[in-house]
Amino acid sequence: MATPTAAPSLILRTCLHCGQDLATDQQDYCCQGCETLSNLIIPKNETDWDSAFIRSTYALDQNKTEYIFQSDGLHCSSCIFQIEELPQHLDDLKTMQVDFAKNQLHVHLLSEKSSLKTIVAALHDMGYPAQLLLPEEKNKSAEQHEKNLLKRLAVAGACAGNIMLFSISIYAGVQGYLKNIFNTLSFFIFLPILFYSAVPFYFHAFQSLRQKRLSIDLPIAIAVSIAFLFSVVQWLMGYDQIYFDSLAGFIFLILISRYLNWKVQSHYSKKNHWLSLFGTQNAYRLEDNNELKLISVHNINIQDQLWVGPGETVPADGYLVSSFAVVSSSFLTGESLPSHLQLNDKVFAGSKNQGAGFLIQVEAVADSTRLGQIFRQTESHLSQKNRILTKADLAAQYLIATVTFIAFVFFIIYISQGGSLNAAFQRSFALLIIACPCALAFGVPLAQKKSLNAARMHGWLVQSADAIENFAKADTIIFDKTGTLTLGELQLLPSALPVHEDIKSIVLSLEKESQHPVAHAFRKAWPIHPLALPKLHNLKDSRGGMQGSIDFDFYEIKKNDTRSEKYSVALFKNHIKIQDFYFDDQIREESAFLIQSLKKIFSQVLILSGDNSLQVEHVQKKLHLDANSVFSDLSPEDKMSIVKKYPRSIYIGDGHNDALAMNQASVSVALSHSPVFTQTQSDIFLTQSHLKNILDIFKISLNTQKLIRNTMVASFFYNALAGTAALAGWIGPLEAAVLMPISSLCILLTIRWSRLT
Amino acid sequence: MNILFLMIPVTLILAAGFVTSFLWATQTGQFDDLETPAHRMLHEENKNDERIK
Repeated sequence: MATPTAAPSLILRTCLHCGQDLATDQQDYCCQGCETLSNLIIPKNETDWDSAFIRSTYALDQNKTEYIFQSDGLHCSSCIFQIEELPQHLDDLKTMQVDFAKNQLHVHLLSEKSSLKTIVAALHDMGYPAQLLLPEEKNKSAEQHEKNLLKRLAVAGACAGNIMLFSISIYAGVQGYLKNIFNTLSFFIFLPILFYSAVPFYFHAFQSLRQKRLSIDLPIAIAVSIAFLFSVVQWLMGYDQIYFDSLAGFIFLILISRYLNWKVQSHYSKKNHWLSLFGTQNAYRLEDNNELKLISVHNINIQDQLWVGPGETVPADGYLVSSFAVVSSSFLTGESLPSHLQLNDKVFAGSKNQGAGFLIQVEAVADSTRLGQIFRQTESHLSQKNRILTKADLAAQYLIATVTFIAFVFFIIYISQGGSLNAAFQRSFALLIIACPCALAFGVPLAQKKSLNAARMHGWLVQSADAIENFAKADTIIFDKTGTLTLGELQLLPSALPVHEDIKSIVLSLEKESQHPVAHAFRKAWPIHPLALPKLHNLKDSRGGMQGSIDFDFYEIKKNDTRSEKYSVALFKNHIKIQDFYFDDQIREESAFLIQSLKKIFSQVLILSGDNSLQVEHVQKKLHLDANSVFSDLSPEDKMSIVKKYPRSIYIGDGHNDALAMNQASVSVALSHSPVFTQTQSDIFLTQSHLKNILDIFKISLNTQKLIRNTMVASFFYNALAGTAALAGWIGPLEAAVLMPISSLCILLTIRWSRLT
Repeated sequence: MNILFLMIPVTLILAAGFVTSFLWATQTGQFDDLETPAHRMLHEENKNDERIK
């Protein structure tokens, strides 16, 4: 098609908004969307701190005077002082309390009419930019759970201590009516423990039974019940085998460990509200008077028409009302290259606008969007993974079952051999008390926690308890190529001859509005100021590339379709190619060394990629791997089936197309630039986008394994020795009750003081 | 040993009192933040400040 060579009064008119050719002479715009958009005044996207909407959404109390801010600018004690002094300087502020550890500011305003704006401005001026937190984000239920745990712990401790008072007298030899009184008191003081402190055990034991799972709470609940009933019988009959004190101490210790566990665990569970995926919580709605109104994302209704600006994230599911749009759905599909949409095409919440602004009509909001649904699924998945006591559970179960069995058998044999009932009971019970699954109940989780902490120091956030352990147990390590081993962005390769400045300007001009990776690569390579670029007429984004004209020349950039190892585009002037450009996805500097080191540790190192074989071969050669270690042209499903063949593997990816494969590996690692969806699917999430720390993590993993193994071995020996002593009658239940917490303490301290790195 | 009949109930009441205070303190958030109060105590109060509130 020949471009017009007539004088500037063009015969063919173009849409005043988008630049597309117009069908007739009578219009100024190609469609309703363009006309509306052209006449829009876009309100500034500034948070109106004092709007009724903000106040009602973020207030913690009925009077709308209590708010919580998140501010990451706190870095020292003086910050606390300065901020907490603010109420002296601002009338509207009644109190201000800082939570240093959580980076939160708890604000009480003087009255409902007080202005939040002045406070935010003051904070900002002082250097502490602050964001309001939604009340849900304060995670009330987690706090309450922690409080409950602490309360139960306190009750258990107080009761245990008081029972000890009386027990000691009895052990010292008190007789007669005082003994009876003390035993009775022990019983009554034990009741709060039985009915309040030990409740979590019954609850979880019951729950796990319903789910047909074995949990460590089950043997504990059973042991507590049996020992309690037995002691009650003994007490009522006036005998001596009363174990309220031991039980109380036992429950107290276990609750301590649970509390500590919880405190560490709550560091790792981040409940991301799905809306936090968007940088902003506002959207633009087109009102009936054709004006744009800034509204909160929460207020979007179905059938609203929303305007999504350049670079913004789409806040709801819907279909396109404008004539075209360029969006990137990399968060879901992993396609880093954007898709071109036409009128009525579907647009999903979470997509990023990589072209000019467009209008959509909303079809689904919040949890009903595709993104919201995915988020709901991954949340339940995540909460399952977060149960820290997994393998330790089973092992502890076996231990208790074995010990109980032995105690029972011993009891029968002893009696049948003519021993006294009392002695039989004493010895069996001593065995039960002393054979403590402490190493498993406290030790393994503590060791795992240590490893999580150590990993976190290196920037590896672990979302599943055995991930670190399994890391060293794997025999295969599998990498995704793009973005993981490579930088994931296109880089313009220098050409044989230097590129003419004019050509640079034209290319940059064509790619000015584009967010395409190729455009980024050009801009990175040639830092020419946008204002210095020539203006193009008829700038149009056509399928396959950009086109436009300057004066009478028609320029076009199109992708070269050659299947070479390098991505390439070409610049055409008046349909004649004048320049080729080649791009490469650079391999990360640490990849080569890393692969070499990993080859010595793991029996197999594999690379999976969706790119074509030539590109993958190029990477394979650079990293010195054999041809049968790399796989190319893979779809997400293909990747998944390959990983399935290596169940004991570590899979490392940056999320694009990796989520399915990650589910098949025994440990999955997501790099920091992964889309959120994949982050939540992975076992380990890196806060960095490089892999330099893998070897350190491997060392941590090995050491953790060693530590856990040593702990279990020590615990086994202890149990064997102490158990024998109990059965032989050398240790009575009293000594057993003392020894048990001591052994637990020893194990805890050993683990606490060992080094993992 | 008859004094025990007085002492033991008193002890238990005292213990109950302590436990109750602890439970109340926990519920009202005393133990939520264990770090900031440590910093806060180092701050010097302005002796002459006028608090209008």
